[in-house]
Amino acid sequence: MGSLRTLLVIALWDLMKLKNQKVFIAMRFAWFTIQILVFARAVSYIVSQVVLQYTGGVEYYYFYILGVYTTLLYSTSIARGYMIADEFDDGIVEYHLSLPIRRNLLAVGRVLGSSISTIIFTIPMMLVVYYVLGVCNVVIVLVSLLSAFVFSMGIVSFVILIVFSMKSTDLTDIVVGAIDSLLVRLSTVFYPLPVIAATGIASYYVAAVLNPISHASDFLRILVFPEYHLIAPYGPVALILYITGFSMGLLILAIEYYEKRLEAGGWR
Amino acid sequence: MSVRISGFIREAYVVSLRDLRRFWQNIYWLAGQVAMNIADLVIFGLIFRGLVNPQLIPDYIRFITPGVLCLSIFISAFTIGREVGVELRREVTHYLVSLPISRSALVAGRILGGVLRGFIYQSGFIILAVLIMGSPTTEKWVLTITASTLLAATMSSLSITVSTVTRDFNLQAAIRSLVYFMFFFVSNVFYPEKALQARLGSAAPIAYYSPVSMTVSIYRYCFGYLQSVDLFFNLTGLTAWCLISILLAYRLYIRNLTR
Amino acid sequence: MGMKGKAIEIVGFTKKFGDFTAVDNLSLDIYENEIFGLLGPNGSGKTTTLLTIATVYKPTSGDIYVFGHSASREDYEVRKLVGIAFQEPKAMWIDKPIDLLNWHARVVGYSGDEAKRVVREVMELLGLWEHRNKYFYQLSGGTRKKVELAKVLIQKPRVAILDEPTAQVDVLSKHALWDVIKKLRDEGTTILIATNDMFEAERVCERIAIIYKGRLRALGTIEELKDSIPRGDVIEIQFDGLLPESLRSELEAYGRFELRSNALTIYVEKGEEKVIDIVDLLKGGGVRVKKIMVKEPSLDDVFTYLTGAKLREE
Repeated sequence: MGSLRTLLVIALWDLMKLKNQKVFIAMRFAWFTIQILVFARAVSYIVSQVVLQYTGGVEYYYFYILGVYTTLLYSTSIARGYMIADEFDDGIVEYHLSLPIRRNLLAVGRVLGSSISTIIFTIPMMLVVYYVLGVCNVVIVLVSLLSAFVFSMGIVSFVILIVFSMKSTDLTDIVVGAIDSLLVRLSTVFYPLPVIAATGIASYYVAAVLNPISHASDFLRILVFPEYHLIAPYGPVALILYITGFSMGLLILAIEYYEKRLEAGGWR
Repeated sequence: MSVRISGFIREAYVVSLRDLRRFWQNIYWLAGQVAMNIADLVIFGLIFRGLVNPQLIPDYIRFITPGVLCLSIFISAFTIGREVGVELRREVTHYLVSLPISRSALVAGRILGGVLRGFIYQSGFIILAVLIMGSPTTEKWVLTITASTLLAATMSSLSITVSTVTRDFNLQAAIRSLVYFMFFFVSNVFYPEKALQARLGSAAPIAYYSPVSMTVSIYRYCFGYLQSVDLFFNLTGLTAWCLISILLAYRLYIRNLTR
Repeated sequence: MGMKGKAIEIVGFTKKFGDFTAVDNLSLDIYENEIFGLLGPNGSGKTTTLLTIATVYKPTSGDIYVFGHSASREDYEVRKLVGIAFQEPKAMWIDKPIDLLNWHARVVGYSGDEAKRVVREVMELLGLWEHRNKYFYQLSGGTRKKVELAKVLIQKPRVAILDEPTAQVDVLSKHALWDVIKKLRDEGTTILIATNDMFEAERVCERIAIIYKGRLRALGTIEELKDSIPRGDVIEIQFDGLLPESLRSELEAYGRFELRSNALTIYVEKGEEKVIDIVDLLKGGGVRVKKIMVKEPSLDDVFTYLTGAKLREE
């Protein structure tokens, strides 16, 4: 079997799961829409206009919903990783490891499948965001989809590495839960970087600057509102290179782990 | 009669202990959740406070603290539904309905389990609220505890109801999330009624009738953020939510477990 | 057996999980195109051995060769030769049998249309077609096991590993599945079955290895194993009249015996050969024999003798 075909077949595993989650996607879409149309609008109502000087003139509501979309991408990628942890619990990793495919392809295929699933899962939400923002430029939509895909690959690889290292769903829950909550909070998804800088807490600022979630959300903001570039620490090229480097690095580590160290057992 | 009642209470208590034990088994999850909620408060205090329009909300930390207090009991009481759903999936429910206890005690025990979880989880946030906002008077403490009990029973019952409404577990998880986030977002936890009126217009009353909003209003009054509140409306509303939810949980849980 | 090549060669295989030794220095050969049974109670190391052959686990020491390929160094080559039906069906509650099997068919090399055809064929063969679109949680334990077995039948590997293939399956279906397993062997697949179902082992397997607490306790055909028990066969003879005292000492030479009124029970080795001599002896002593019965020991007896433990112990 050719490598490309194998990769696609492995990726189908995750897409197959997605097929049985139509209702869940619909419900998640409904709640995301409530978040955008109720929560985000109400929160932006209580935010003072002073914020414009920190967002490069971008309305806080617009700033905020692109942040919410990024956290959705992030949490959906994490959820795909959790699904792999669930598969560990159900012993499916034993089945996958017994299949007549190379381990490196298995690793890449799972990451690809999970990332494609994430993108498909979040497309309806992305369309709502872009509708609210009034974006109808196809190039912007395609570039943002591509960046979302690359970002998702990094997050999925990251969760896979944790799942395989922990070999325990309880530990995975704790570690991913803690990192998950910290990463979102220590990022620019909800607050612009100058506001974080104004707190005077250097470690908070550094964490936000280094955080790949900050890069992903800021990249989307610059893509839609070029004026946001004025307050972002890096330009769009640097941001996307950072996300790509982050994702590829973690993907290589995940492949390495699959090939060299992974064997079933030990998590029970 | 008294023997039957004491038997009922004992049975319900024993059932609730099972749910309580599981809550403690997830101690790290619990610690993580508490840490994150406290981190949220800190971030609100450090950052969001400075962004909020002071004419609308003069002190956002004092505004959000009762909201977080309410979320803490709402979130923890709601966790019972997920387990009820997992039990249905793994057919543990067959074991539960085979036990020599009355059906009503089984349901009451599950709801009580959720309520107790709520109180345990909320206790840390109560201390935090006292530190930030000062201690309420004795009467207001009674009012706070009453509101907490009613909300915890409502959320525990609702989560049980939505988890048993269908045997399609996919759908079950989706409905549970939707109900959860409806209460989470469409409420006055994060923003005042003025913001809801401005953004939701004629749909704003949906948020006022939410049990979460009613509880937050009572907390804000008890902890001194609001000088007055329509106690009759909020307490009656909460009681109605609680009774209807318990009734629904009883009817649906038993029907779906034994059909 | 001697003419056949080795399909699987297990050489000093040891597997440890931390301090726990699951399999201890196991060595045995499984020949091409045979149905080989791995017997042992739960926790004896059967599944660990099977999973290591399937390259899911790595040996701690020693190695396993599948058609000459090392499981520890050439894992991919080994996986191309091996298909496994796991003891616990590998699916999540949200999965549907048709999706799982279609995917499995694709991943083992079938094209889209071929996959659909072969999946339908196998599902119909196993009586799964009517369950194809149910969620996994809606299936009975036996049906879930059939889905697991279906994967191997779709794959048609050179070595099929079946871990307790008929556990939870009803009696009628068991017989049908045994026929399916034999047919798979007839089509050229070497089959390795782990089981603690004695009837299944006797009915299906040609050679058997008994492992207990991670160690190999016995290896051979069922007959060889049964014969390995000293005086394991039982000859029961009913006769008229009395047994002359003079015959008693001669009977003792064959083995321990018990006498109850007109019935004689003698414990011997290779009972089917000795029964003729014993009947001749009785006739020579003037005893009129009415009924003769020769019973072999069961595999349970073999196991109890070899390990001092009961095969079905948890």
